[in-house]
Amino acid sequence: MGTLSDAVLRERARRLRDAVEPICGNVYFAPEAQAGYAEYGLSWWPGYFGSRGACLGRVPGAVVASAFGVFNPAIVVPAVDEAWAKAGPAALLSARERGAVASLTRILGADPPGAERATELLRRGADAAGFEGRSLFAGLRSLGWPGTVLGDLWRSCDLVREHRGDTHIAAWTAAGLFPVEAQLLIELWWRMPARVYTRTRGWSEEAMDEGYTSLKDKGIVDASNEFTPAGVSFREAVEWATDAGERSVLEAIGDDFDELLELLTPWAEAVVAAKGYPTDPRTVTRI
Amino acid sequence: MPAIASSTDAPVARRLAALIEPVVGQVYFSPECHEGYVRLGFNPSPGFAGGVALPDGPAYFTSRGSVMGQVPGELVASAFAVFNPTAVVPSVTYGWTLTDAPTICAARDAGAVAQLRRLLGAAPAGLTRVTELFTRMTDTLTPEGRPLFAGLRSLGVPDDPIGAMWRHGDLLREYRGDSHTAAWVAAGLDAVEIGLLTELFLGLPIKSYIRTRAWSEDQLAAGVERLQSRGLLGEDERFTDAGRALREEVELRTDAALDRAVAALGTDVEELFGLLGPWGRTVRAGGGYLAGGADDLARRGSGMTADDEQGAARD
Repeated sequence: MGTLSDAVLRERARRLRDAVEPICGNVYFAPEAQAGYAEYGLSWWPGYFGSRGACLGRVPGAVVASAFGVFNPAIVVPAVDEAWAKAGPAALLSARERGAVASLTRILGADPPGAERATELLRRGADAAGFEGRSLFAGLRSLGWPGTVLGDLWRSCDLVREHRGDTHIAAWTAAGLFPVEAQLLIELWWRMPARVYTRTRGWSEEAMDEGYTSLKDKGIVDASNEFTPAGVSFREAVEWATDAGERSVLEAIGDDFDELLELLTPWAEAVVAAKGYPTDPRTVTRI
Repeated sequence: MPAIASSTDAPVARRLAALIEPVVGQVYFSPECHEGYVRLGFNPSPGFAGGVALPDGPAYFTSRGSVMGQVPGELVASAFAVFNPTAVVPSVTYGWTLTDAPTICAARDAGAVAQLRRLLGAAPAGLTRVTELFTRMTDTLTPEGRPLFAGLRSLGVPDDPIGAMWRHGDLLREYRGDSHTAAWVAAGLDAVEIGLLTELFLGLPIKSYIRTRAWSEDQLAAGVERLQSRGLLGEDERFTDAGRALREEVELRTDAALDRAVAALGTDVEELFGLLGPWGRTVRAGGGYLAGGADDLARRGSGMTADDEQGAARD
């Protein structure tokens, strides 16, 4: 364990983000998980908000909206109400874990070589991180461990992912952004088509228009809704603040970082190849 | 704990926080609340600071956390942010063996309103107007990244006129607190580091108030060392220029999160402040809130070890 330079921290934080994302995010695209939620009569959105939010406990939908950050609360709150009414947090946590493990088992096999070592390193990182200001990470930490090779690998990836996600919300709220603005900037940052992804977060055309107007007023986007140079710097500063919030995780992984990435990368690629995650994050994110 | 800002030169959002604090934060020192928690099985107030009754640790963590629902202690630790989770998590776990979220939340509301009614009277001057102005502000706020605000928002507003004012004031207080947590997390600080910097920011001795947050001597020493290695504290454990600037930046970003609310208040700022000021003075004079805020707890903290505090929180 040592002190990482800012440059090394920035690069490692982003490479770790890209490597864990398909492995833990697979649960959102796994037919096995969807089937589990469907047993309770839940379609995609209530299944998504309920299963991911369940680690917080039986909280009101507004608390799930606060933790997920970029979604319009108007779509979160009724979905959570439905998820709690039809299934409840305990049932959804169980369905989520079963679905994730079944899907990863199908793609990677039940005991991929090195899984226990990767879990050990990720867990060392997660154990070094604090709860402060990180709702989903704290919720996941309250759950304990599945106790199977793939279950523990999945949980350790999810912990690292949600810690970064929680930090990212702190970074963009502290930078004075509102959810629709943060979401529109993700599209620009990842060079995606305008509005498509943001629409899936429940925002109307009017809300997106207002978001663009506000971003223009702040000098972050230009008249064609593209980044201004100052806007690129602004968004990079948000990403760097996110990276910097992962210092405790990355310093605890320390010199074993390359070994960890060598283990995770083929699994992440296998999940993407099996269409278990829509895109290789490395092709859209910025290092 | 919002920074104390009585000066009229301070940003409006900061002055608002300072004026709201005794009227809203009195819930944590309300004997009526403490009695309500005792009826649920919690311990009574463990003692006084400057004549003000301090809260039992588990009752405090469980009651304030209950606004989010019946949540795990880890989530309470993340939302309260500045406390050592080893004090928070067992307190909340224990709390849920005694009560449930709707029950203790109702006791919290009732005790807060009861103390305000006792100290301010059943119909304090300007009550309707303060509630109206608070509501105008809270209507502009949204829940992203603000778990305590989001929880409070989902509770609805009490029918009682004092309760309605108190709920909206608590929404403003927790929104600022949640925003403050985001600001220091985004500044790359952890719970111990922000606690130490805040002491200096408030003009308190270093490693005094933070002891009420249950950190050990070793954790505090390691925090000081990290801040020194980042150039935020000098060898003398005082602010460097960079440290002072970073801490002020955190507060400015916290203020900025209230921009929409302050804009909604518009030209009614001084009217609101004129109504709140006397209420806060009355609450403090009646022992409903610490006379000096953080200072009182710092004086108490500096006379106790962190282990004592953790013990107090557990017992």
